[in-house]
Amino acid sequence: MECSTWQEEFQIWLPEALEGGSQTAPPAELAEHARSCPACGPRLEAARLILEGSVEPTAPAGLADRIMTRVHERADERDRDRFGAGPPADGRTRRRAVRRPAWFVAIGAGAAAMVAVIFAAGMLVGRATNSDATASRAEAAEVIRVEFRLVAPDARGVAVVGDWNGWDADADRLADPDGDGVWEGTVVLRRAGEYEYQFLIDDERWMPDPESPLTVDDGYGGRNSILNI
Amino acid sequence: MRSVAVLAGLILLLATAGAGAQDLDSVLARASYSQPERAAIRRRIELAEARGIDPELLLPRVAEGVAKRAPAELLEEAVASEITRLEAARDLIVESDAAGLVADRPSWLRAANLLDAGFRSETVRRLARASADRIEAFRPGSLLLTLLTEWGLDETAAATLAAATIDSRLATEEFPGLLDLLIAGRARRITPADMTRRLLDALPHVRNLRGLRRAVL
Repeated sequence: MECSTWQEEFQIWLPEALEGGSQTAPPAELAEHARSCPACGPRLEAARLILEGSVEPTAPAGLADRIMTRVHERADERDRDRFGAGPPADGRTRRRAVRRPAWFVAIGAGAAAMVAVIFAAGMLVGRATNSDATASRAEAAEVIRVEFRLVAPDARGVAVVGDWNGWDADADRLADPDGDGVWEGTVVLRRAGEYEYQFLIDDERWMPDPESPLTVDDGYGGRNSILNI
Repeated sequence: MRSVAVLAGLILLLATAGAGAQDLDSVLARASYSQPERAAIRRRIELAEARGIDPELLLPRVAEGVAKRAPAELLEEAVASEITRLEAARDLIVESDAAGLVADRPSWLRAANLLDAGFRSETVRRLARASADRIEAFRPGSLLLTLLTEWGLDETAAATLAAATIDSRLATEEFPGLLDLLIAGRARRITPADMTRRLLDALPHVRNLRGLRRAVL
């Protein structure tokens, strides 16, 4: 089995296993390939640990988008050779998840933000998703924890401010306890919904989440990111 | 007995209206707007309420303007703009015979955000129409739309695929899996256009993503 085929099969098997399907053990062909493949082996091992409950699946939400972006880029490179120009067929400009306003560079090169969503309903359900992902679970018993992360080495303080906290800059401050320039924090939402938000840096600079796939005009000269959970 | 129920309903309505007004006042109290400026903002929101827009839907924009220290005039414009886009989304949803989406506020907001993000009215209308009997699928369907267009599929094809997915028996959690199938198809030298056709043919006949994968790859 080739790694690409293995990954396809793996992506089908893992969600089913996580949801408690009947096939929690990996199919034989997956296990066999993983045993001899240094790339796929660790992935299967990580999946096993998650399924056994040894580690909690807290994959950052933006991760899926970033992985998909890389996959698209690689697929595009291959398809330029195979099919000529890839989509979009109508020549339309692609929307990219990453938007970097000019002043963002001043905060720090390579800065990026991630949003992780963890759904908890008494026990951790946990599911890798992205900030534009939708939860269709019953809302009443659900607590939604959203992890925000922003790389801003030159910032003195970062807050995530949005519809859920009444745009209160003091409600959800991110922290950078180890001083590595990565600001993190978890926000607890009481219900799923469609929320607009921005990061506030040093209590004066507003910026949308560079990783958010959907942004809208905020009416105040900027753009808000959308958290759709 | 009936009059007691009506009275209770009225009390509840008044209490709700009072709570809304109090929220707006407390938000505006955080800003240094003059009384006439506050009155103008309040009037704008009351007019919107008379047109069926719940003040609760507008409070976040007011709070945002206050937090961003926007001048009162700009805040009023932003609220007016929010009212316009909410009305546009509501009209479009109702035209699509999917009024249930308006009752589900996140779906209503989602429709407004899709339009704001540049998706065509026809695209949102197709998704709304497809979701008329499956309201909980509207936002996951719109997520799929976003993912597909981000990937590079043209908007018409993405909307067709998203609407067909909403119409299908696939669980909403499986919707993003369609993008994985398109990518897997490309890896096997199947063009996106061909994969789209295969998916559209197979979607009405499958029950889950695994079945869909078997049918198209």
